[in-house]
Amino acid sequence: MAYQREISRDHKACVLFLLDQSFSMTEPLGNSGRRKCDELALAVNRWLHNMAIRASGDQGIRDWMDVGVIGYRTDQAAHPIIAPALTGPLADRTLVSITDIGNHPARIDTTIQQIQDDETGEVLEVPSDDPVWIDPIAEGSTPMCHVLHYAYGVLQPWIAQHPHSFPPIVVHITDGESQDGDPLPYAEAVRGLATSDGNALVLNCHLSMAAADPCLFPSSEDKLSDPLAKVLFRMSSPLPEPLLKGAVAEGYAQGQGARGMAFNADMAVLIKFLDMGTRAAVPLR
Amino acid sequence: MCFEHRTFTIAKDTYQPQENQDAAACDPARGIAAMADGASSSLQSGRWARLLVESVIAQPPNVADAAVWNEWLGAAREAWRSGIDETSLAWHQKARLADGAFSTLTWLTLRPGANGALLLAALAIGDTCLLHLRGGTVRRCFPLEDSNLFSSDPVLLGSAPRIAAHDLEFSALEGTCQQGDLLVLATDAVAAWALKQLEAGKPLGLESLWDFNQEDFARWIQRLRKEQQIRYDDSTVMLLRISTESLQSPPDAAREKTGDPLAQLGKWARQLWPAPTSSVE
Repeated sequence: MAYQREISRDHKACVLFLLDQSFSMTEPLGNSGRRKCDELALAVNRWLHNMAIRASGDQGIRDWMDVGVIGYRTDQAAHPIIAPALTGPLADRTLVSITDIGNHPARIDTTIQQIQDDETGEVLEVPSDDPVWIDPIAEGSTPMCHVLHYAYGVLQPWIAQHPHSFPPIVVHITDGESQDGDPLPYAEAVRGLATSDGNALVLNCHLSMAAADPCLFPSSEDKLSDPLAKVLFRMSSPLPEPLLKGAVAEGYAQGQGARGMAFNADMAVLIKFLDMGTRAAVPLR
Repeated sequence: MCFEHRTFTIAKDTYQPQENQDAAACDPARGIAAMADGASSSLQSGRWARLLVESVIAQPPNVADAAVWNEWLGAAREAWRSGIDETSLAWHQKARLADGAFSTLTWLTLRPGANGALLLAALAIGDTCLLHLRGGTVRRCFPLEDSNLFSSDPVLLGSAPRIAAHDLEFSALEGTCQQGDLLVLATDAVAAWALKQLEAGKPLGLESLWDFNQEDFARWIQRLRKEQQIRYDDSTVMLLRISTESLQSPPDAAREKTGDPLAQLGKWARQLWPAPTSSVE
């Protein structure tokens, strides 16, 4: 049965983020006063932070996972810029072990969190150290086909090196439609890559400026009226059993046929999407 | 001595044995055995698991007496916390410190009963299991009896006092053992595999483990992993072969007078389960 391989050092997981860095990412994210690119960077940094903590053991961070964060946009001459988005010591690296992620953040920002004291009701300001690996970028257009082609080139050799691992999970986050052609054949090519445990999973999340009703893990495109939503639905992998089980149990998916996509996502949906979409690649015990 | 014993273990990552977070210990003279499985998702859970089994062997807690149980667990938690040098922790380890470590805990005690039998009492939090075999047949698997009940988030005993001691619910078993019975304590990967085998009507062959050495055990588990028959996890078994012939113990009354911990355990076990319904007999 596919998608059963447990994650270990011998059978590492691979999560590849593809982040839209087009100019429209300067627009505010639904239900938020902050720009989409700021919220996206925050969500991915938090995900990396949590993954490093989850992989942390007594001897350091266990090498259970390779992570890539690829940004895509175009320059002023409309040439695609497809490049690793990690900054600091890990800059320019395409796939990085979670051990290196945890040991080499670009910097650690100190933020002040406001926490209410349960007993007194007093609001306390508590400093919090937040490691940062990626910064927000927003320029140009959305060369989606190019980034999917790039992802194929990244994952093909990884699969050759890890032929029996849980298959790679590609998490694509965008706020608009492809501006360099039909992305479906490119997404299908990535989904065609496979380890002995199953085909690569392509998950797509659409960020919305409007505070519209978000749609998470739909089972059919019939209820999706937006043409972009239909394209993303077709690009997205059906959720395999381990992911589907969790999504159904928490009430985010109806059942068989649910696709790994979110549409009109706000920050809360984005974080839930990242959590649920990558859960199968996270050792829990 | 009321049992002979063998213990085998293999880490999830075989070349990282120091990361094995299972722990097991026994005292054949006093008829006590314990096993714990530290959760790899928590910090220093292997040390927490070892502390728990060592504490059980030193003094099995009377979980029916809230004050005694609180004190026992509090002492174990304090020992775990005091063993950590915060200044040596990386940022990602410090982030986990407040949550503490988590582990399962299952232990059993044996004490003399009528007609040369041994009275068995076992307690468990989580999915570390006890299989009771007689004549090659599994009479009982405790606390889980269905392979579908194993999950990635079993009830665990935490080293941080987030859950009050009195809110922790133990599963309990009471039964009897005879000469030649085999008791097998196993962490979840092996226990789930065993139940799946039983459910499929396939042979277990756990008795043959008695003649294994550690290398044989490691090869066996690695084969099961390769065939994807068993979860890829730290795997530990402790085999206890019951031997009543050399058992010499004073009667209960005398033991209780002397404050013998086993007799105390038997006493509260009877309070907990006046009419045993989960007997393995």
